[in-house]
Amino acid sequence: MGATHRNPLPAVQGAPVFNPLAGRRILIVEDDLSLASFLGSELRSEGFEVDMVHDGEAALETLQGGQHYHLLILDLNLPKLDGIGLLQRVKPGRPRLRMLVLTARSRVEDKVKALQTGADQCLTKPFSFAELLARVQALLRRDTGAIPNCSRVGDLTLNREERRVERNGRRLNLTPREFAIIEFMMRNAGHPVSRATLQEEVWNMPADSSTNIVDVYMKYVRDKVDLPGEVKLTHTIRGVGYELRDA
Amino acid sequence: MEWDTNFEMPNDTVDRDTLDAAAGDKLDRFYVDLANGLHALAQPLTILQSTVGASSAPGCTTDRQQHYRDVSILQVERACDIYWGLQNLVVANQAAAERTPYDLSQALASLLEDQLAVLTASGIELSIAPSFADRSIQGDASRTLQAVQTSFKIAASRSSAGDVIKLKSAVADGRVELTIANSRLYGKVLNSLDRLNMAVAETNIRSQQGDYSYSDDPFSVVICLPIQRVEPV
Repeated sequence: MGATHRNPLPAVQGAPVFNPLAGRRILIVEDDLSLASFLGSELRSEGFEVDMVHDGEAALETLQGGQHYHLLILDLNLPKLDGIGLLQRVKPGRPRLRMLVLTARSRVEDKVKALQTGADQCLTKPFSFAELLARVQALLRRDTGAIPNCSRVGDLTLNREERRVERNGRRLNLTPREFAIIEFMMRNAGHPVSRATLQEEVWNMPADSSTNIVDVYMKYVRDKVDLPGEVKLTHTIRGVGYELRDA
Repeated sequence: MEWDTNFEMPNDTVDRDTLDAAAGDKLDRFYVDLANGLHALAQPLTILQSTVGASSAPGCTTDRQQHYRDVSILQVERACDIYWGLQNLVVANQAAAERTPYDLSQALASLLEDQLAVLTASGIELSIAPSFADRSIQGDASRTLQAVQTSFKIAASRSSAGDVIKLKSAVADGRVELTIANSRLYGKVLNSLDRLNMAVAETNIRSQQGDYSYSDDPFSVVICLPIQRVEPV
């Protein structure tokens, strides 16, 4: 990833530069060797410790070893022991282990089953690493309780408790949905967020490419955040979705 | 000529339920193979979507951009291979197989000659059993060739210099049974592209009323094809 993606925390202006997630250990369970290798390499470059195995049984053995993992990234379609079987075997003994499921099955039932079996999040292939990284960071931050009450990106500030968003002293008049979009984008500031992720996280509904509701709402948000003459904070990332960043 | 079960060429001796069940099984198998192929395609697309985004991100160095370009080139090739596999799968399911008599050993002669040259160049021995079948098959020679070629290609990819790939044949119950087998454990399961190509091979053999089965490690394939039967005059 580019230099702007090196810091796993959102690029919140004014915040001290530190990386509390660096050194967190992740186990990738993915039978596609190229993809596993690519994800491992990218996650390592972001400061994570990464191990990889390529089937469900090997994952079980690795998890039963002495190594402590903070996050398990697993494909559902695994040889020997599939992803659901692995979740069923692992989750009861490790309720605090975060689990991110990758799947090329876009059926809602598959995701529901994975989530019911203990997965914290599902990500449908094909996806962009930028999105995977944002989710990894969000999952690992849950353990650190690091979502602050206030966030800032450039001169845009958000107060979660007061549900107030201001830009350069100007209060933005937002609907609940628009507030939820900005709140989620600020948590992932500096990282592209896909339309599918916004649908899932803000609308709480499965990704549906046939609707342009995300684009419609992003226009509303953009019109309120970026007035003429102001530095643009909302950016469209071609082929991915949107990103909130300072310049 | 008579077929034991033939849902594509129904006759009075096979009841409608059996035909429907066979057609349903074939369709189910196609959907499973198609889903697996799409799953395979999602892997390179994921990498490509990531590399395109990463290489155009602000601050991405020239070295990293070159790295992402190199990764992308490989993944585009892989995506194209999977695309062709998917297309072959659709064609193999959509089009009917030919039903023409052909001599199996003649049909395979050129292919085996090529394989012998390729494998020998890599230091891999091709052992062909002397009792190689000289039999007439009623079916589609090009589909049989695709299946055998795919099997050899995968067998070779899981072999190193000094290994032996065996081709055996046997005749039993009105069928020719071809076995292509690696001699050594490889330690890994087949990758998604191999599985897709094997699904195409299986479709091509089953479309000739044959059977096709394989095991991952050591890799071996068994292809059964019905021998042409001569009706008594």
